[in-house]
Amino acid sequence: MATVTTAHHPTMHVDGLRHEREPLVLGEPTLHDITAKIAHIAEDKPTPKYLLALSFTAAIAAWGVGCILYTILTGIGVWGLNNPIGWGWDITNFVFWIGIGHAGTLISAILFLFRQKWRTAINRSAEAMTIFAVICAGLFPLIHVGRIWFAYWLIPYPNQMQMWTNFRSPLEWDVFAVSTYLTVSLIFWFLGMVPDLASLRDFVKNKVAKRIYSLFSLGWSGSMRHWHHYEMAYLILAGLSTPLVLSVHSVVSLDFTAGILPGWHTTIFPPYFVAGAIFSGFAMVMTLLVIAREVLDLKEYVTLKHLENMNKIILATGMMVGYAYAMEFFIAQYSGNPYEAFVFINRATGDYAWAYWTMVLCNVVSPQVFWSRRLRRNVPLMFIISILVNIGMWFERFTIIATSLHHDFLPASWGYYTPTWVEVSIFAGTFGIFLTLFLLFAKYIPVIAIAEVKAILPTAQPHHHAHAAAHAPEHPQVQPTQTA
Amino acid sequence: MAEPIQHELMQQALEHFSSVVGEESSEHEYVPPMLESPLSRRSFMAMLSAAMAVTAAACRRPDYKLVPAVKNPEYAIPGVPLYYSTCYMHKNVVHPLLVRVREGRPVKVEGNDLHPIVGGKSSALIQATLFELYDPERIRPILVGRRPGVIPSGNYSTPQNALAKIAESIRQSAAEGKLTRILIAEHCSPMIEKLAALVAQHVPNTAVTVLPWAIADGAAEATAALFGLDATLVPNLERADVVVSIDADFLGTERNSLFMTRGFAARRRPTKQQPTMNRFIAVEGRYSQTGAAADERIIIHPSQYEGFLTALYNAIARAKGARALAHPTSNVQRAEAVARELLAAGERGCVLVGEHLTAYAHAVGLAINWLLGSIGTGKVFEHVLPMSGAKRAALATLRDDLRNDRVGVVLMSNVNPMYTGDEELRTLLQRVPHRIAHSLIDDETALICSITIPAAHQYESWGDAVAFDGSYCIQQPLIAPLPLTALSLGELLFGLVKEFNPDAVGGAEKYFDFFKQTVLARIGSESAWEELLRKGFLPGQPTPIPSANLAGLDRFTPTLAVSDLALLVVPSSSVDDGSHANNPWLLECPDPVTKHTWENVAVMSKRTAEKLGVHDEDIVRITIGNAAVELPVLTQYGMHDGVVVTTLGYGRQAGKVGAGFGQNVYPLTASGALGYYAAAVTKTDTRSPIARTQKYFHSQFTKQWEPDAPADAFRPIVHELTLDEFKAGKEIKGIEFPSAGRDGRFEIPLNIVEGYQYKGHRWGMVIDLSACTGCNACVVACESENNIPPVGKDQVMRGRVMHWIRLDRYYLGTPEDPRSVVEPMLCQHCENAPCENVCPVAATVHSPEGLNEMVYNRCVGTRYCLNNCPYKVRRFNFLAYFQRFYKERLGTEQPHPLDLAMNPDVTVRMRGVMEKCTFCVQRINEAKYHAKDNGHARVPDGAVQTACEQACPASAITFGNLNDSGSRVAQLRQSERSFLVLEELNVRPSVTYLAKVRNTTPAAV
Repeated sequence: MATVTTAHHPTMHVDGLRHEREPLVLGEPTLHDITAKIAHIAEDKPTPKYLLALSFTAAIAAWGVGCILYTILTGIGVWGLNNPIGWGWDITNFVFWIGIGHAGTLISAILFLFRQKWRTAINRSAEAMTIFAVICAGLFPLIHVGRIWFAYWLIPYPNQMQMWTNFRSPLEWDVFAVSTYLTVSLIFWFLGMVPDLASLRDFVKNKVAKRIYSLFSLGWSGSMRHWHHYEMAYLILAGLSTPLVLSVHSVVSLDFTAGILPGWHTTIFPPYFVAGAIFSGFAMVMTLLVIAREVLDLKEYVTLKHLENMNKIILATGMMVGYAYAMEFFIAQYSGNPYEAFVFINRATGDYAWAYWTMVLCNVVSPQVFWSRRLRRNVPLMFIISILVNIGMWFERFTIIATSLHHDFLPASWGYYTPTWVEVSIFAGTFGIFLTLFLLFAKYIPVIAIAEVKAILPTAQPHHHAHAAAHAPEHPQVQPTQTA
Repeated sequence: MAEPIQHELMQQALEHFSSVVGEESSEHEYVPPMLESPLSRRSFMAMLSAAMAVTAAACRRPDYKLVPAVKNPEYAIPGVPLYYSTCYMHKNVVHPLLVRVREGRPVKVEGNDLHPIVGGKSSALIQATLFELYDPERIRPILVGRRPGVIPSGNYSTPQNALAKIAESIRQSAAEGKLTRILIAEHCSPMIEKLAALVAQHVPNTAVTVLPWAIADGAAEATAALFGLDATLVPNLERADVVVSIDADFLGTERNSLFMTRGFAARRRPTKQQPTMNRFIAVEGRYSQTGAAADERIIIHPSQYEGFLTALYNAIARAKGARALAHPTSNVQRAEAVARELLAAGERGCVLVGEHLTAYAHAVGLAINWLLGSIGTGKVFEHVLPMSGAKRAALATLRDDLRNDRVGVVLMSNVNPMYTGDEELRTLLQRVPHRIAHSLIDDETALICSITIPAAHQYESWGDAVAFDGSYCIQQPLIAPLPLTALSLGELLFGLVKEFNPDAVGGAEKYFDFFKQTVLARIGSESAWEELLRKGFLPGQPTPIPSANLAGLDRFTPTLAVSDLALLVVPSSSVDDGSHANNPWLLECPDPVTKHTWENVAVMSKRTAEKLGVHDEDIVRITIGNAAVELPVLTQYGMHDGVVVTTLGYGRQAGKVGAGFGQNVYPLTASGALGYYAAAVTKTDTRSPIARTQKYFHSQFTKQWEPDAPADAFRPIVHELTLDEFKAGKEIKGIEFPSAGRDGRFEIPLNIVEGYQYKGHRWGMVIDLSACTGCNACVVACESENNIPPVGKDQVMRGRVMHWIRLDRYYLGTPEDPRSVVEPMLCQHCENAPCENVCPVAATVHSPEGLNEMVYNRCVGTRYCLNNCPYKVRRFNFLAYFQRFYKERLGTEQPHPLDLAMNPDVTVRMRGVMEKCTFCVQRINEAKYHAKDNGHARVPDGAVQTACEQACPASAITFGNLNDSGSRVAQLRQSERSFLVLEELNVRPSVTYLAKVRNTTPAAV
């Protein structure tokens, strides 16, 4: 076990070639420091603050679950849905959470494939966020059905009813898209975690914890063979996940595009939804990271550079959705289809204009501040923007669903939709579930990919010949995992 | 002994099983010495499992056999419906009916197709009477010694004891020199009339008084003055070329509207071969359902109606050489233009005066018709509806008797003076020492009575009625009274007469004996009796109309209440005068014009509302004298600014379903008299939400109509032609997309299912918008046929009404002179149904006969189909409406005997399931079985009628097989007027609409 403590290394900054960019890890920790820092989070007793936060989120989650049970026992009528508006907050929340669940895989898989090293600081929490968001998302299509006890009929399985599912229905495609995405994301997340779980296994003193970590670290020993297989598997999974980022939200958007409703029936949706998903996903990662950075004191690992990079992506994807909004509007008028034209004018000026303009302000206008480097690096500001973007993206889905449904073809059947307290509670409840899971994750699972962070330390770079001597005594082993 | 055998058996079994299992144990296997046994563990397991398998296979449920009834009721075959003819009396109008009875319970009411005045048609109210038969709130036992206002109180009694007790009170009060008054509702039954005469004759100091809920005496008074008849004249509009209505809602709330709708609609369907139709001019200040159907509307203030009529009369009198009237006139120019049209039509022209208008207006109207020559045998006015005298006078007499405490006993049968009466009448009634109620439910009046007798519903009673065409109709019971001690009015009166003088009823022991005797005396023979029961009626001649005595006009002077803001009080289009206010089918039936449900509102023009400083749903206080009512405002286009309309029938306090909805307007009226009142309308600071089933009425959603409209959106979803345009062959145009082909036409879009050939039946429907008057008969018929639950006001407000067919009404024209088109909207059974491909579990699928079928028990409830339905005709069961509705009101999820009202051929859907119009698939299947039984390969045209089609008094709906080129529906589909709603979507609906035609050209000689 390497137990050498680190001294400050002014030399690190001398090498202009290496360090014209900001370092990805600040403070030059040793490999042990990293393990110790992350593992201590799991090892230490939960602080009262943590417990308070956990009980708060768990209470919200419990309230939400209670409202879900109330819905199931009483009927969908406890929501505000009505005859023209068959979907409201339920599917809005579904698409919202699915969107949130996007950035995780994107950051992890795509940035991994592109060798974007800065991802290491955030990929674990982003992946966790994906899993939890997809869990929350999956809840909504499940509970939105009128007879949840028959929801399993959406799964094509041989049965004595001789019934088969309708593969023409986009909802059926959703079943596969979402479950595949959840499965692959879960495996990807878990696989990436195995070396770190092993580190925790080795680090923790608590017997029960040790057993649990042993179980989940799958007998990881850190041998070269393990590493070899691990990295190959990780690469393959990253390759598998990447198309899923595009497919899931494309398929979700087909729920709308495959309909004939004006405002839904449009081919721009798949790319527009993917861009929106990345947009909202990054915003949510940002929100969570800014908090985690403060609360868990991870400033050295999640640096301003990381945040700034993410802000750039938020800016870019925000412009993309802005483009989509404009193009949608233009095409609706240009098409000469009076129903389409009406729906869009109605969005901007009708009963739900407030929702539409909230969406535009949050999604298109607010990220524009990130053109300025100074503002891009302003943590409180980016926190606010990230929340605005999340609000805006929620309203985007709400606008698409509610405005298209409430005034469709025949004016006689037009209506209006307002959610009830039950729907609001269930949505809040999913935040409770999400945050509870995230808090548990942040405490008991390495919130930073220990092994990967170590790999981006200067010591992990074999070319560092000039300073090799200086570093040698401090880092006797350039080995990603420290075993006891 | 047993052991060796067992041993041997085991040995054999072991050998056997080891060969089966293929395990050679023997030497190589280690056998613990202690467990040394001929049976190895493996063999034991094998035997055990074999034994279990055998045991399991041998298990079967014990047989139970269905044993058919030893003595089956005659004709009753389980699952096969029986049809009985009967009739329903609504006020003094009889509706001959044919009722479908399944396993001894009536499940569907239809018009008697043999009878000329209904022709198999019915109305919303008639359809809804079935609910009242099964109303869970009907009074069950006879109660005597009730303490007024205390529920429950009193003791159970039998009819005999109750009658004896009533007779005793009558004797006692007669001994004191006091009167007995039996108050009954309007009727047209010779039997009741005879019994009333017997009562007057044999029961001391007793008289039967007809005291309707709402009073409209004008027509009767005028007819009495001009023709000497205690009656009103009923027009046969099929014979009228020009119809002028003075505020008459003859297609809506007025009595005989069913007959008038039939006649009117028959003249509203021009074809290429016969491009003719009637012309209808409506003179009104409100915007009635009838006015909405007019070719021309003349919007004037109610105070000018009489002046308009006078001017009209004078113009016609001038032409006919009759004496002109000296009374003031108004709108002379327009009246003369109308007069020219009437004169051109001659005896085929008629003037209809609103039944709520004054005797003067009616007298002038009758005189005009007389001068035109439209009264008499074979003319427009041939039918005579007998009235039972002037109601206001009868009420005044009663009030006088009550004031002077001359009344000792009052028996109130199906009348409700404690609801309809003014404060004085209510107080006076409670001073009567003996009060007896005979009613269906424990209403306001029953609550002040010491004896309450459950009334038998008309479908549980023997009775008779005379229709205005003179035909004699029989009312035969379809089911034994559900409350076992219920008595019909006939039985009650018969019982009373018998109590006092058994000889007076010809020695009849039972009411039925007396009834049959009396009927036989009228119709002659037993065979006529059987024919009467079978057909439901015997034809007759209407009362002949004598020559008019135009001098009778001088008896009346114009008296219509005049004020800048006139309040019109009329019966509700759904619950009528309140006698049906506990009926959720009717309560939830939307107003044909405003589409509000569950309550009454104050309807006024937008400008009037602005002047009062109120908006929709703001509450205004309407004051007349000491009485005031607070009602929410609903603004409406096409109304005169000086009119506020509200309806009777709401604000009931009794009946858990209907109580508490709307306000009771009776106190504002002069003892329930319909008509115009000078009222003060003031703003209050409160609001009350109104439950409407339609909020947007604009096919052209433009700023012209809706100042808040976000954009002008032209939607060709309803089409209207003038008769001239139709004659000239004007084409109906849908949307033309600039992006479509070069010639502006669509290229044929892609289909999901390519070229399916419907080989057998191919069901389709045609709806004629020109005939449809928006009367709601189809809505309630569908509700009754398809077990559609009412949802309650709160759910209607949420937009969750469950009706499978709705009547969309759209404005055309301008806001100042709006025209309306009513477009019945139901599942269009699209060939390219957008709902079908989006259902993930294939719960909605297409049948080989072109039906879009909904498989309830496969439905998971994603509501995707609803979202993707361009017509939004799918209905989702958001809550368990059947259970919820009655649980909230009656405290029980399974209100007996309402379960008996359900159509056994149609599933009652559970919550979480999507439902919608099935084209009455149960009727299609029944017709197919019949066709097969009769050796037909196809169902003959007309053999299957959907419930909406069957009820529709305008015959606007036609259903049939599109594959049969001779069928009516296939022919109508070829009409020049036909169009498909949202054709541009290429969903290929099976429902075709025929454009509305208006005759805008004035009739000329």
